Order: sequence, then C-alpha cells, then structure tokens
Amino acid sequence: MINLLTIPLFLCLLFFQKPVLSNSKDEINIKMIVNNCASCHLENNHSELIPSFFEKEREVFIKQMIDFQKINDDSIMHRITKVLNLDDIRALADYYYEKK
Amino acid sequence: MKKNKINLNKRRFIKTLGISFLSFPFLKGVRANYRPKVVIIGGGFGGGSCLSYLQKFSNQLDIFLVEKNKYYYTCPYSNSVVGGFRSLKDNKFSLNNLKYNDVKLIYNEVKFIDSEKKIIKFSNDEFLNYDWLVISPGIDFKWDDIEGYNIETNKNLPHGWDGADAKIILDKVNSLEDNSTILLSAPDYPYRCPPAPYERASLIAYNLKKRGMRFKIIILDSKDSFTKKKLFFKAWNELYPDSFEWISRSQGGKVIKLDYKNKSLITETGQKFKGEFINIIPNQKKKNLFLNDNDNDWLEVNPSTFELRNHKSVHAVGDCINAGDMPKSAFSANSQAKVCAENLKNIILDKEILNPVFFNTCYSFAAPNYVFSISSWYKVNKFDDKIVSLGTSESNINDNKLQRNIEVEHSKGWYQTITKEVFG
Repeated sequence: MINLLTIPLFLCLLFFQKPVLSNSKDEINIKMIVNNCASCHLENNHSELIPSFFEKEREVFIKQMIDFQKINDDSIMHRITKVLNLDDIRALADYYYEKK
Repeated sequence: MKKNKINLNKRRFIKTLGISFLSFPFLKGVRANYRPKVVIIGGGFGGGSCLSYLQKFSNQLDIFLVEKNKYYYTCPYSNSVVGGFRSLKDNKFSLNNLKYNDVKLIYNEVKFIDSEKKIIKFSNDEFLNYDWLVISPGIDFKWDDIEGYNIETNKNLPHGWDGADAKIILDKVNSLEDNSTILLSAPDYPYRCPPAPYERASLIAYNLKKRGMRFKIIILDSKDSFTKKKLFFKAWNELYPDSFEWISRSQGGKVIKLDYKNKSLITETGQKFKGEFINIIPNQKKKNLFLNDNDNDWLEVNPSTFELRNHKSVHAVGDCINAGDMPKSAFSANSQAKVCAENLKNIILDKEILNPVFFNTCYSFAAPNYVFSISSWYKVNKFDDKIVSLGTSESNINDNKLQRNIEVEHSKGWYQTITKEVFG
C-alpha cells in the first residue's frame, strides 16, 4: 500500500521539481559553475559593461543573487540564477571572496 | 566506473609516455623532465578557450596550438557588420603572444589526423606528434543539398557563414536599389548559431531602412519554427512593418534549387521566388580531419571529457560535435572547452573526472539598440550520457525599449569578455 502511494508521489515530485544545477552539495564542483560565469564575469580585465563578482562583499553577493532569483522579470541574471540553490550561491560567494 | 576510467587513462598515459620516448630519441635524455604533449587544432572560440584554460597548467604540460590563419574573424557580431554599424576590423583577433608566451603556436593547415599513430599531417607534408589532442575545426557545408548551388556559385553568392565574409555581404546589401527583394534561405537544424539567419535578415532590414529604401525580405525556411521566433516577429512588426515574409517548410519554404541566371530560388513545392539579392545559408556538417572517417555529420563525444567515441586520446569541442541539447554557438563552444580542459587535465594528471555543467546565451540584434536573448544551463544526463537542457528561457516578449537597450550592453560586455578570455 505504501509503495503504491509512494511511486506516484515520487513521480509527481520529479515532474514538478524546479530544475536545479546541483541536487546535492557535492554533486557539482563549484569551479565548473564559476568557469561558465567567467564568460561574462572574468577575474581579470573584466568588461566595463559587466560588473565584476570579485569586488563584491560575500553577503552583498549572496543578497544580490537571491534578489535576482526573486524578481521574475526574465532578465538574463534572473534566468541564470533561477537554477542555483542556496548552497551553490554560498559556494560561489566563498569562491569570489577568497579570490578577492 | 570512474575508477576504471582513471585506471584506463593511467595505462594509456604510461603507454603514451613509452611510445613517445621510443619515437623521439631526443626525449630519452630528459626522461625525468618529460611533460605530456597536448596539441590543440583550431584557435577559435572552442580551441582558443581550451587553450586559455589548459595554459594554467603549462608548468606541467607542453602545449601546442595549430591554426591555419593568423587572424580570426568572429562570427558573433558579424551581422552587425552587415547592418553597417560595425567595422569588420572590430571583429578581427589574433592570439596574444604575450598571454600565450609559453604555448607553441604553429600556423599550418591540417591535412589529416592519424589517431592510431597519434600524428597530425599538414598540407606541406610536415608532421606533428601528440599525446593528447583537442580539435575544434568548426563546420563544413553540404554543397549538394541545393541544385545549382555549390562552391563555385558560392563565390558569387557567398553564404557569409564565417566572420570574414561579413564585409562581402555588406557590400552586396549596399549595392541594392530601392524596392529590392532579398531572398534568404535558412538551413535545417543543426547549424552554427540558430538565431543568426533571422538576425542577419533583421540587420539587412536595418541597413536598408537607415538609407531610406523600401524593400521586401523573404525568408525561405527549411524548418517549421526557429529560436526566439516570437521575439523576432515582434521586432520586425515594430521596426520594419510590412517588410518581412517568413515561409516555413510546411508552407513550401525549403529551397531545393538555385536558378542563378534568373536570380531565383525554387522550393520543394515548386514555388519560384525572384530577388535582387540572394543569400543561401547552406545545411552544415563537421569539418572532417580524419582519415577513413565515418559518414556521421557530427563528431560523437563523451560529454564529460569530450573524448571522441571512436578516436582515443582525441577530444573535440565546439560546432563540430553533437552536443545534445546545446546549440552550436561561440558561448557553447567556450563552455564545452572549459569542461574539456578541466577534465583533460584531470585525465593527464590522474585526478577525478568532475561532473560538468554548461551554459549558453545567444544574444540577437534586431537593430543597434534592440537586443534580446535566449539562455540555458545544461547538465549530463547520466542515463543516456547526453547533454540536456535544464530549460531554455528568453527575454520577456513585453520588454520595453530600455530593457532591449540594457541587453545591448550585456551583449557587448559578453563579447568584450569572451574575446579577452580567448584571444588575450
């Protein structure tokens, strides 16, 4: 009985689950995400048209990423951040803070 | 599974070292200092990005880059040249010798690769051996798909699907007179930069409108839909009303014949379209570098390491591969190249293969101050070992002029950064 209920419930959860980059904290090495961010947010010689991540305070970075997720305006940063979970964002903030 | 792969790679690495020492006596005396030799073929967004990331390990690797041309003209922003608001020289790059001072640059044309013997043969009959090879040769064209259209006719009617020919397309557009009809034949999937035919049409329209000319642009399509279609249609209605006609494949849009003499295109339903300027963007396939290769249009790769399925120690990135859900774009090539570099380094140094993630954004101009985009993250689906999208999303259809202009700045910023990252 439990199995009969659990299977459709699990399938529903799978179907309605928001797509995320990493399902567990250790699934994706943060370097893999950072490398993609670097196409716009390069460590050195960044564009004057795109802000650097390397100059931001850790808490400011986390707040801004969460704000991008919340404001559903289809902006490029909303579309990029919406698949990140809080662990991803914290790991990114740590990475950029350490490189500062 | 990872363990086996690493052991296999370790064995391959040791074997390669052995073969290299036997083949190249001058290395025998420096056995203790032997450094694995990685050769990259192609200095564009795929090869150049891989080079940029592998270079971080140049104290452990001997890195070579093989490129046919000393200068590279980017495909991104080539349609802005056609639009008449950007110079071709702004899209011209060469690898910065200062950044790549520890990389050996070889300007030569590859004739073929013998992956069994791990040797590259050049057109001038010189050879280069390698331990690991990364190729990013880009695309070739299917010249037999449209009757009457081939390499010869392309000299007079250039497709302009590499960055260097953008000026030729601009000159053709600039020579048009008032009330001209432009025919643009859009290819079937997959092809380099899916939104680019429609961006090109938009910027031809911008160029002609800016010069006060009346015109009609007819897009004859081999597909029944295309990326960012609603955004393009909205832009065309706002910026160039009553100037565009898009004919899908099911409406008879697929071009099967060029009548060059009469400046006409004939579609598979027998309809004939006449135009003062014809731009055929042909169907595409990989550029082939191998002897006795199979007939697949695209190279099949392991999506975590980008090693070819049928050529060991050869990795491929960019437009030449089947990358699952990822489109063929500079951004995609850049993203794949970073994963390839990271995990190739891990293979060579006997470290763990990392789970990859990829990202792509394609910005499209409908006018110099009007840009919209499509983007997606990608992961590898472990069940079928293919790259899958986590869901594509586009700019909001109701964005105002300010938001379209903000995307112009994002696009320019991305271009500045990625070209800096690749070329130095």
